[in-house]
Order: sequence, then structure tokens, then C-alpha cells
Amino acid sequence: MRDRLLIFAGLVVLVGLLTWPSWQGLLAREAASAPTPAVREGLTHCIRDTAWMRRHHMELLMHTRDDVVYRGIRDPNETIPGCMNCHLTRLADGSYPTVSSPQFFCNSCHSYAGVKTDCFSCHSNRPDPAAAGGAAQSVRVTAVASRETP
Amino acid sequence: MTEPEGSRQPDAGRRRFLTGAAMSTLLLAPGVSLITYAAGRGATAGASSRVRWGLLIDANKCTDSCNACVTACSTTNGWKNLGRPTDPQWIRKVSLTDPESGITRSVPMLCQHCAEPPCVDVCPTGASFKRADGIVLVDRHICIGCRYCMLACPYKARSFVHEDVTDQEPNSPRGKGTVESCNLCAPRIDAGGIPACVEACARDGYGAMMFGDLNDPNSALRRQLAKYPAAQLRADLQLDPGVRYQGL
Repeated sequence: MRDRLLIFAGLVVLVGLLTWPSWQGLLAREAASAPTPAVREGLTHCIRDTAWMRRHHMELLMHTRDDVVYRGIRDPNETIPGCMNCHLTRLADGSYPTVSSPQFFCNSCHSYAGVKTDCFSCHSNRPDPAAAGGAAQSVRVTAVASRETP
Repeated sequence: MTEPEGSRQPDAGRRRFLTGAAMSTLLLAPGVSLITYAAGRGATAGASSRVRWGLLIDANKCTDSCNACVTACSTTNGWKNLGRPTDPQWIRKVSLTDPESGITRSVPMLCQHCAEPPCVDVCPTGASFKRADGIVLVDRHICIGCRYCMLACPYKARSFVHEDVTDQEPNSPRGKGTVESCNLCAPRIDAGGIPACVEACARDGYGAMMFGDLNDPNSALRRQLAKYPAAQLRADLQLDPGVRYQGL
């Protein structure tokens, strides 16, 4: 019973060590926040509220995917090329980053969060020239010819 | 003046109910926003079951030497056929010769966008489907690459992507392990345009292809169909293809 102080001190140290990851997490959250995706200069607004996009962009992608594929409802802003139009930034040499590059805007958060996507095994990682400028109200320029062929 | 206890009670209950309703509305409001996704700005109207898109190909105008439709499709949709047997072919030129008379006709061959598509019947995952406006498509998000549809199609219209694809066209996603075929340029049609092959045929070719609504009796396509007889390929299979051929 003479070692009571020693025992309790040891217990406190043990509990502290066991819960260390939690403490580390709490400390780290104060020190650094999650990375943000790259965006072209001069653009301030995403198609939705930034906080909402951070949490729900994948639902939006999934929803517009079904709208486009099954129902033919296409909003040029709300497609993957639409994302590219604002978020794809050129590298120093003027080229676009590859999908595996850390500079590719999806990767800045996705590598941080440890989430892998396979969107770009099929989808292009280039902006859509027909919907360039972010405010893509114009439809494909080549496609506006009259439907009635002689 | 005091009201009897019994007449005040329902009011209090109603008030509690209304407060509760207001609170739950506040809680539900973020969820309701999920439904408003579709109301995006500048979205196309989408496929309508009132129309059925089709093509009419005039074999008397098409020539053996012209490849404009194939080139246009390849550029628009970003596929390349290097002549290997497994290379993609959304559209190809075929030549038909009558052995008796020796007369030859050359026509483009592509997905016939059947009203009763056998590829849709056999697809085990539902990836092959027919859109409301009659366009037959592959949802490559759920295609598992089993290629039953390729076996079922009597027109050999579909192809399988065997190798990794890079540098796709932004409006035409393609990827390894999935089946693909002519989509009648659905992105262009949704935006109010016509398929790239038809456009190229009129511009660089001989104007042998016509695009239009098979459901509309006043469309140029239907008027032309009423003027001269047109054949459905393998009409014996009763698939009611949306692509018709004149002069075969």
C-alpha cells in the first residue's frame, strides 16, 4: 500500500498511452485542416455550396450519372467535363496533370482521405471545349444544325 | 372568465403538433434538397417516349469509296480501328454483291436501335437498355463485360474494349472491360443536334443518311419512307430496327 502513488501514476501513463491515437487526432485537427481541391484562378463559386460539395459531391455525381445515362438529362455544368472546366489547372509547363498525379484536383483530398475512385478509367480528364468557361450555357456548337436533313 | 378544462386541451395539443411539425420540417429540409438535384440550370429536357429516333440510309447514294460516316464517328467518339479483329467498330462500311447480277451496294452498318433489342433481353445486369426515345445503350457503369449482348446481336454491332483506353473524348467515355456500340450520338441528340455520321455524310459524303423521328408522320424521314419502300435488315427476326435501308 506504500506504492499507491506509483501505481496510480503508472495507470495514468498507461491510459494516456492507450488513448494516444485519439489525442494525436485531436491535436492534429487543430494544427492542420483537410486539403482543398485546386480550382482555376478567379473562380469563387462551385455549382453548390462548398461545404455541401465537400460532403455530398459523390451523391451529385451518382445522381447526374443516372440522369444522363438513362434519362438523357444533361446539364453541361454538372458533368465530369463540367468539373474539369473549373477544377483542372495547368501545370507549370502548360500541360494538364495526369489522373495519377498529386496535382490532379481529385487527388488532393482523395489521397488525404484514402479513397480510391475509378471514374477516369473511362471518363476523360480533359475539359470539354464545348462547355468551356464554367458558365456552360451553350450546347455543343457542332450539334446545333437543323434536325431536318434534306 | 374561465374556460372549461376540456375545451383548452385540444388547442394545446394542436399547438404541440404544429411545433413538432415545424421542428421536423427544419430537420427534414436538408434531406429535401436531395430531390432538387434534377432542377439544375441549363439541363437538357431529356429523352421523351413521344419520339423514336431512327435513320434512313439510301444505298443508291452511298458509294464504296466513301468512308465519311465512319471517320466522323471515330473522331467524335474517340475510338480507333486499326484493322485488328478485336478493334472497336461503332459503325463500319459493308459491301453487298448480288451473285446473279453482280451489282454491288455499299452501306454503313451500325447499331440498328431495335424496338425489340435482343442485346437488352440477354443482358444479365441490365446494363443494356433502351432509352425512352428508342436509343439502345450500354450503361458501362454496370456492364460486367460478359459479351452476351455481342453474341445476341444479329448485326455484329457491338464491340468489346480489350485494352486500357486513354485520352477519351470528354463527351464519350470508354473503358476497358465493357461493351460499347453506336449510341446514335445521344449527347448530340440531347443537345438538339443530329448524329455525327449523318452530319458528315451530308457534308463530306453523298447525303445518303437521314436522321429523324419515326413516330412523327410529318418528319422528313417518314415522308421519305412513304415515298419509296425501305428494308429492315433481318426483318424475319421481327426486331423492328430503327435504322432502315432504301435501295438494297
